[in-house]
Amino acid sequence: MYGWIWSKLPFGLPGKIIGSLALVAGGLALLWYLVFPAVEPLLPFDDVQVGNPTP
Amino acid sequence: MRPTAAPDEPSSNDATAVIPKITTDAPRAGDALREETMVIRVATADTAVIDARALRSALGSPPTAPPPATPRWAGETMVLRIRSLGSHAREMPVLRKTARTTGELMITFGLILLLFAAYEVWGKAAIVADHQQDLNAQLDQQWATDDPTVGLPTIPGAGTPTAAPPALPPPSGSGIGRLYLPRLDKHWVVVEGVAPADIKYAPGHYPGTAMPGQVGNFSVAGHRISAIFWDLDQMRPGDAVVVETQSSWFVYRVTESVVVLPTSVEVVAPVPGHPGQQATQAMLTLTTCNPKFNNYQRLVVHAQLDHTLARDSGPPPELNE
Repeated sequence: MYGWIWSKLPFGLPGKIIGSLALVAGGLALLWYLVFPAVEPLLPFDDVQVGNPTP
Repeated sequence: MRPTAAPDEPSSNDATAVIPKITTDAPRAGDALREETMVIRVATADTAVIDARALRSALGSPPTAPPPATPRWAGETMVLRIRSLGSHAREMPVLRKTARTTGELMITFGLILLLFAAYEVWGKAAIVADHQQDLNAQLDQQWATDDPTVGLPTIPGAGTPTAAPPALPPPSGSGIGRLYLPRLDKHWVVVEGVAPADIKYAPGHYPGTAMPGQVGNFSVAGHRISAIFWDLDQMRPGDAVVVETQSSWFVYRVTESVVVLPTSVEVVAPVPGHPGQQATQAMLTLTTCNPKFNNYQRLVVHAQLDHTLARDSGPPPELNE
């Protein structure tokens, strides 16, 4: 998969390096700002309430 | 392709050595990198240049005509090792491709999970800070426009009634004041309510418990995340807990910290630990999950009201402790 991506990036070796960095940065941003905020409420890490807390 | 046994001395392009018939291995489909060994026994002393194109065509087709070679002297056995191109020039078998891609996908997924763990710590901290900024602005605006003489609404039954007439509790999610923990050098806008949606970005006030400064138990719950109550275990008896409302500054002092079960709801009773008793003092209680990466316990910090200041007199010095 990564070999195929590498071979498809244009502009020779510098182009491939820059293209790889751009793809990685784009992927990270996509995950950090879009995917993770969307998925996070669906995960059970914030379920801390125990019934009615009022005395 | 270049034969490794290239000649050092210049040779004539026209001369061609007569070389006996040789056999080579036919290219096998599926080999990523293959070596071919051609053993050539030189018959004569004539020199010739090895034509790369001739070699290639010789390898591609059934080797009927042996390629010309460059010997140094008659009788030498020359071994040509011809390396074919790497994997990109040839079809990889499907199984190997699938295995490689599966491995890459699994490693990628693992890295994504690590990134998610980092997001849970730093990403959410940034989001909480953003929301706190919004809440701060909203609270300032709310306090600027509301009539300051009305003071806080009282909660019927939470403690002794104050001079102001009983009013409805504030809506869930709306800011009711600021909480400062000078020991942790942190402060937040506290919102009303302790539902998951309420405490997602701010500490939440337990509905039905006293309001700041009132006799009773002003109880606040917060997530054990780096942006909220992560370091609550650092609170020591005597530490200041300052609450800011529209009309006043309330300075509480920590009395004790306890670890209890999640079901120990008596910690937010008007008299902490004694449900049903009539309150006589103004207390404050902070609750969060315990241990740090788990939630099968609760860390509870109790504090008692020390003194009250009017908001106009400015921030109390305890904020700088």
